[in-house]
Amino acid sequence: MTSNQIKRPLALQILIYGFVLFWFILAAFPFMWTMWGSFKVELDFFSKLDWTNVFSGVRTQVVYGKSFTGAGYDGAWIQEEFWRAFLNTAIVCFCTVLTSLTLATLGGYAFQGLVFVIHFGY
Amino acid sequence: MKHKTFFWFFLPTALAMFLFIALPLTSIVSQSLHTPHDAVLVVVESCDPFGCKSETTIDHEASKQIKEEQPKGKWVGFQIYTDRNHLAFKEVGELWENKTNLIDFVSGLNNLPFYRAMGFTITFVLVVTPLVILFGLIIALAVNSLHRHLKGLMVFFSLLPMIVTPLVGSLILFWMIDSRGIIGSGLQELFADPNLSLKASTGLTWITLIVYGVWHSAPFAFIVFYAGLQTVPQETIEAAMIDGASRLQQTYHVVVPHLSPLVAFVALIQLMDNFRVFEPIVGFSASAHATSLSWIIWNDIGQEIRLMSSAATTSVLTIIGVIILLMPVLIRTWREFNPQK
Repeated sequence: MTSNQIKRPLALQILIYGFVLFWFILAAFPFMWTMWGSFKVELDFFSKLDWTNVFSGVRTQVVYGKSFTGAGYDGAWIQEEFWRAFLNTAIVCFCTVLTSLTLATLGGYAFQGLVFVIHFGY
Repeated sequence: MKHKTFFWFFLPTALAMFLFIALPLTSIVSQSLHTPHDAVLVVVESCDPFGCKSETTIDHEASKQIKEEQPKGKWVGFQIYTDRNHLAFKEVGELWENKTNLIDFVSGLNNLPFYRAMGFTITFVLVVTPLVILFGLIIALAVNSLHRHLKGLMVFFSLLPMIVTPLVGSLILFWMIDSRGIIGSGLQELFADPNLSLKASTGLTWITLIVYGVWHSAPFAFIVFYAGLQTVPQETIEAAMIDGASRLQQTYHVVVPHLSPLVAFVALIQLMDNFRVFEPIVGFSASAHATSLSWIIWNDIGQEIRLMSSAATTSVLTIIGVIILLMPVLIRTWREFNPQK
């Protein structure tokens, strides 16, 4: 029997789910918003005139003839050579994790041995 | 384990620590005690029909040679530590002599770069760290009591603010609070003030940076506490229930004490991380209102003439600051591991 299996009062249940929803919006909304905006032109994403432009995509339609455009991705990934930066990051990431994991595993094993020596006077 | 085996297992780690910790530390400490050489000046006398003039010029050859002989610069001891851009002993002394009241003194300190940065850094650390621990604990308790199908999903989304690179995270929020962005224009609408800008005033900038700090670090505290919650002893909870403890009492008297070593761990990491606050200041372009020690270092070496000695001095001061800040937590941890003493 865990405490979770005992039925919670409704008020507490509402409080918990309400808070989780609040935190979910706080944590995820900025990223979803940016992802949505990445398919629009800048004038839609930052629109002083009418904030609903980012949903209707008025400016994007004027420029590309449709509400969504992959032009931002083309610009970043190919024109600005983001793929190169991505590749470099992958190399750095792989080497760093490999090195630090190897060293830390060896060192950690040695240290548990050291603690053993001190405690049991081997 | 034999001492020889220990030595061979530990050797790679020791080498890495020596190369990446000890050497750079020695390097910045020694660099902070040196200052760039003065240019070698020569007085050239040039005579023409209207008389002789002496002219002072820089001897580039000699300057270059002296630089090559002593690349660190000339030895000045602790002079850089006490100059205006760092601890500013002289200026602080003068301020203290001439002060009319304490507010006057504090606002005077605010004009000195080091104390200005310290002001923001300390505020940031003292506000963000407890909020992160509190917020992380509440999120962990809430997520842990969700239906099990929802848990995995929420853990993933909760970690987003931490996984994303700090610079990108702060840029995303910066775009949103821009006066043309969704939060910025929303706030203008809410307060019916078309000129409201979160970037214009020092107070609002500080609040924005602190909110960002909590948003970014709360997932870290959350995931540590969430892992801790999986190991809460059910027997103790049951005993508490039989004794008639309410849910709040169970949480306060059983769950929180069980998590207390983790609270110490999160506090240690967060104090250290928040003291080195840097990315949000760059991401939010907030350096006009808020600076930190890390920002000063970056600013020093980012200039056309790279101020290596100044940056090294600030680095050493940052390390000293971190050590002072962590002292209480370190002493606590030491006592926990050596209870018999």
